[in-house]
Amino acid sequence: VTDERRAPEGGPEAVAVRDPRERAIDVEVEAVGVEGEIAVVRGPASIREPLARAAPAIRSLGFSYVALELDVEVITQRNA
Amino acid sequence: VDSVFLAVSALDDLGPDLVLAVTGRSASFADAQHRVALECVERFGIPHLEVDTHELDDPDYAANPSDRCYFCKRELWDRLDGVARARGLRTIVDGSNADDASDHRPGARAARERAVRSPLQEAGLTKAEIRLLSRARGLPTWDAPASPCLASRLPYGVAVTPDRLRQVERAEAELRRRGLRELRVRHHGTVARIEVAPAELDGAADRIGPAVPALRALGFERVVVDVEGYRRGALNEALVQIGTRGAA
Repeated sequence: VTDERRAPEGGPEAVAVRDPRERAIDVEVEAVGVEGEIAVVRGPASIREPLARAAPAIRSLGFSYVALELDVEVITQRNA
Repeated sequence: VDSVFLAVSALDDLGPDLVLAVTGRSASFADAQHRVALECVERFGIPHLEVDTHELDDPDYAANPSDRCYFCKRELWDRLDGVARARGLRTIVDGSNADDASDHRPGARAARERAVRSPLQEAGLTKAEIRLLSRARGLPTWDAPASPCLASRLPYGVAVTPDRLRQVERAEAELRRRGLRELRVRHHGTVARIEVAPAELDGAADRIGPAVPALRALGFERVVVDVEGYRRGALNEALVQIGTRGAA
């Protein structure tokens, strides 16, 4: 698991990119929030359920929450 | 849910001369909840008074420590104590229920210090039982989602400010307009983390996605959906983790 925290451009939020692939979860996780407490995965709504199943394993890496950042552009196009 | 049930029950048992329902108003109290309170007191003829509370002016509250609720309740009970004395009312009661006894409730300490009673808790009534009784009594709040104050959306340590509370309130209103019913917008600095009730998670993305631009316009740079959905006291989970780390 890589844990290289770096300051984001243009903001005080702590950001870390952690790769939880060692736990066999094939997603890229970005640490977001006041202290990097949220593990954020960007993707479509369809990955929410498998992500929810993986959430305890992701949280065990030191996150408090696991969240999905929706591909808004895709949803907007679908609803248009 | 609990406060309306308590107020109507007190009115049923004691009559209007011995009961006064009081609503504490501040930026941490959502407008939608205020409207529900006003509708209920009018519909059921509950004697009612509104007082402004100033917990946001208290640095101990505004710093948002894990016992923030203590400072809020202390302010509220102090205001109500003045009201009770002025009107010759003997006892101040709140709507805490039996479930609350097992939750992280620092506000209960303020109630104990000021001899505030909790009849629903003393009677051992759980939230589910209060909902059933509310339904039987014809109260419109029987199935209303739980509605803790807006400050509960801010992680401990993030200062409570009127601007942040307004951000949360407007974001939640936007999502409710799009059909979501039970939800929380958790304020993580520039990030809005949305918790939706598990029963509403399927299809929630279709409602949340189109609302993202509106939430960004409120000042959230990023909008994310908690994959596990709404959990009561979710921000306390981080508190437990911090405590565990500290003990390690």
